Amino acid sequence: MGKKIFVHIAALALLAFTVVPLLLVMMASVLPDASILSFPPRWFTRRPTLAYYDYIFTGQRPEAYELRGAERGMITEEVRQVPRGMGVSATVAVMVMAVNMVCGSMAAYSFARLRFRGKAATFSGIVMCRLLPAAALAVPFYLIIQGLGLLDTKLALVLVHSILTLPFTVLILTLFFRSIPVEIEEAAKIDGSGPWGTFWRITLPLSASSLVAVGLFSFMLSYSEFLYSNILGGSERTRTLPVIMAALSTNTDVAWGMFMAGVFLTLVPTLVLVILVWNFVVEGIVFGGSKY
Amino acid sequence: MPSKLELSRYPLQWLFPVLILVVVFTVYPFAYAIYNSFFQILLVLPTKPFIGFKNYANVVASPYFWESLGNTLTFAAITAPVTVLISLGVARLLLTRFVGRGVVRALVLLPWAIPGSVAGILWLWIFHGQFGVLNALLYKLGIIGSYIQFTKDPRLAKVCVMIAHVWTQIPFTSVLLMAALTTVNKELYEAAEVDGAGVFRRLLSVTIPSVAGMMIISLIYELIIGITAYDVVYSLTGGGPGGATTLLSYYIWKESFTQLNFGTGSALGVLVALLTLVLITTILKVIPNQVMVREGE
Amino acid sequence: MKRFAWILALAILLLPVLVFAQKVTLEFVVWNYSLETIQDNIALFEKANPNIKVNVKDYTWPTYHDTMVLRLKGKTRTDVFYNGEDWLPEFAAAGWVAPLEDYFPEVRKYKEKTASYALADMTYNGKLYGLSYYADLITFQYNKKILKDKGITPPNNWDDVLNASLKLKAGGLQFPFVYEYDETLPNFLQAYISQVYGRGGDMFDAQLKPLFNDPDSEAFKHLQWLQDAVVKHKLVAYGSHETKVDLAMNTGQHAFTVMYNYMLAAMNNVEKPLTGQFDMIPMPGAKHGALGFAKFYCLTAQAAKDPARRNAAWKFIEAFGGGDYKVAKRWAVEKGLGFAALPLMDDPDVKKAWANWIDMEKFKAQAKLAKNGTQTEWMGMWSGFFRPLLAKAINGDSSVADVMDQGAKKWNEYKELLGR
Repeated sequence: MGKKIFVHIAALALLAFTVVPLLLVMMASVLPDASILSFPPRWFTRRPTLAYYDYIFTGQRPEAYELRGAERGMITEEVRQVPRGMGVSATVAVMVMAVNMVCGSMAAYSFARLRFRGKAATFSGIVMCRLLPAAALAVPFYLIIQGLGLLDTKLALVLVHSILTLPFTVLILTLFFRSIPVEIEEAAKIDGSGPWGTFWRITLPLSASSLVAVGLFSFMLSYSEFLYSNILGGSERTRTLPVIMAALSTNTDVAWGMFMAGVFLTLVPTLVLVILVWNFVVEGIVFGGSKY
Repeated sequence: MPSKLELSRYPLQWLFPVLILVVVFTVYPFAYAIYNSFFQILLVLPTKPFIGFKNYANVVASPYFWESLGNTLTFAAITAPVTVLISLGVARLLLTRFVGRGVVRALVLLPWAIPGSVAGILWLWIFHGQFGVLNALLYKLGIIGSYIQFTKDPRLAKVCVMIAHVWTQIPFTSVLLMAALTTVNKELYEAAEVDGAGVFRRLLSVTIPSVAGMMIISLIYELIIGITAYDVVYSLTGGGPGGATTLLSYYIWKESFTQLNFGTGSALGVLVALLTLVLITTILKVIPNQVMVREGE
Repeated sequence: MKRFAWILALAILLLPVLVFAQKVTLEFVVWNYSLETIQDNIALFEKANPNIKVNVKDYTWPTYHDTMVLRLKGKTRTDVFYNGEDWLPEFAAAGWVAPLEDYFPEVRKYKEKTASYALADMTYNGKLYGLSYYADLITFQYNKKILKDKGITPPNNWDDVLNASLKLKAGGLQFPFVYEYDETLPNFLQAYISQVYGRGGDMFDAQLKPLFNDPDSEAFKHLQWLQDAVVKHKLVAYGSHETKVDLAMNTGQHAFTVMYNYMLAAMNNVEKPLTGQFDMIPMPGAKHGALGFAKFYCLTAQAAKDPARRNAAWKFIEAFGGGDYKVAKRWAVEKGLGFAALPLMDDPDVKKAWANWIDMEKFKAQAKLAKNGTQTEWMGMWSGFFRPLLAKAINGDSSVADVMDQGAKKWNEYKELLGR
């Protein structure tokens, strides 16, 4: 009984740490600035409003902004880039996820199961290629992407985000594939499968949990990467959410609540992904099924 | 292991997509950085003379370097283990049955999707000295009589950036460790339970050894992230107050793009890469593990 | 000979046809302040100039300089871009921008209509490099209601600011002064220099020798003042960015700040809780000087090499930064942005719009006393080096003398390496 209570308290504490900051974002996104900035704090004396969300999606300006025509309106069209940015970011991130799951698992399988000359060197080379800090790579990365004629394309972002994520994907998956007992694959060998068939039909399905983990990892990294998205982009077609949010965060025309509405919206694609992938795939395959 | 003996040819068909990317985006940039680090490349000067190791000497002589190195090592040395330990607890918790587990599992991952620069601002909304939530809460509860300037005091500012950073990192390591934990043989737990091992004993004798490999990977990942991080920190404190939260990555960026000294910037990048390499190799040597692939396997 | 004449005549006839038939595309790069207004201005320009198409690329302000360095260093096609006063010398020394005056001498006619500090900021080696997009001052701003309620008169010098702050603190305001404190931003140094100008001091003499490391200099004294205000009297709260200072001032917990003047418009915005309570006064000190600066439309060296691109770019720059100042006026009226064009100071529409958030006469008086910053090839580099030191001194983590000595040493190093 004591254990049960402890588990629930721990779960609550965890929720508080991870989710409360996000709830605060949601709260701020429906409050007028006058409430947020009041001292002593009186957040709930004014009526909450969905006007910020309304503006982002429909362009319907909140009433308060129409008061004085000649005065600087504290609102900007840039907030309205958020829905489009969600699309760009999600597209790039899904492609990066696919590259990682397919190419990363193939490379990892060869490291876990095949024996060849130069294996340790290749492995270290791949894993260690994340060591040079991003700030020192900005110039050569820019020159490569420009040389390939890919500046201001989504493909450039997919390539760069893939190279940022693949080392860890390979490292993690190699470790996982090695933890799968070889005997299971040997049974497939007897059935006449080559390494390719064994990989697709036996190893991958068995590694669903780790594949989901690296898939999520690469999606999230791509989805939140700012530095390269900023320097390799340059127009609306390729502008990802982090770039838009960074611009909004220092834009004098953005109310705090408006910004928070934008932050809250960035969570939506992730929430969808997490609910789909995590709750159906993971719950079903990993936690439901018995191991080996 | 028959499959291991069959192929001794280099398995290019398995590796080429990754190798192409690595070669294009790593070998060339590495070479570029190392080459440039031996030249004096000041954008405002037309000539680029070879100066040997002078860029490295300049870096080592700079007080900024040592300050940001100290900050970075402290930052990484605290946040990486803390993140891994908390994540281990989180992973273990999320595999335990309790009411609302599915919801908690999904929600816990959300901080992951927040770009670092936005996470910094989100935590600014909590720590802000004039309208922050934490100040408002403490004030309303009567614990403080006036607002605290959390990001103005060098020590508090360091704590603030670490909390924000750990917050963004917990989801990934939790997922990794959770995935690792699901492959732990349940019989081991049952056997330990039969032996009368308590929660703590089970943790030490079963849980940690079975996921040690993944814990080391997580730790290494978090160290690299810690050493190369800056966007959370910069949006929260701007590296201040007075350089108290300045990290190496930002220093490299500034050397190249503000000081327009790409030679010294490259030298710094190479030094940080070497530092990380030494750190990781040491960890892999000191802690027994199966993380790296060895030639004969 | 006759045939030659025929060909010549034909060529002369065809030349304009060839030039005009070809549609020129300009790559225009901006930081993304009010992109919708920029795009609308471009649409109007394209309508009036059907042969010119303008593509706009935008980056965020905090990353703008660095992204432009990458873009220009990488020779990515760029024709016209927003340039800043502190970047002109370094970009010109790197060979990335071209003097407008060399190609289009008619640009000189705008010199007399441009505020002196802005003109100085757009000039390098005696040549004009652009026409201004936006020019402003860094001014002393305060909450007039708080001061009135406490019966305090607006300060005239920094002793007054100190005394007023102490009085306000005694009266319950924990931090009467809020300071934009972020060592990553160039204006962190500029705001300090503006305050030094208020005292009648300067950072450098005419030979670019540092003055600030002399303990009797106004610059030295003022940094000490700031440190004392922060450490000894605990009068100062920090805001990490002008947007956060704006919010902080709007909590009514602070009375004074020093910022870009256009922030007054943001603070006095009708949507803000304390709208109408904020005003500016001449920068405190013996001379009431202030720092003025200009951001401007600048022609790249790559565009200058190609006559078609160069001519189109000049048309564009003149339409946006010169002519009858339609674009600058629009920024001033709709957004409250400052301007370098002197004729706009007396424009009735500008006056009417600005009356909502500022006393135009006060602004004009301050603009008359304003002075440009020192611009050299190494100013941006030195500023990057000096700002963290400045932050340390203000916060009391280093002594003022230490910081000033280190700053002077680095300045002299740069001067020796790069000065001519």
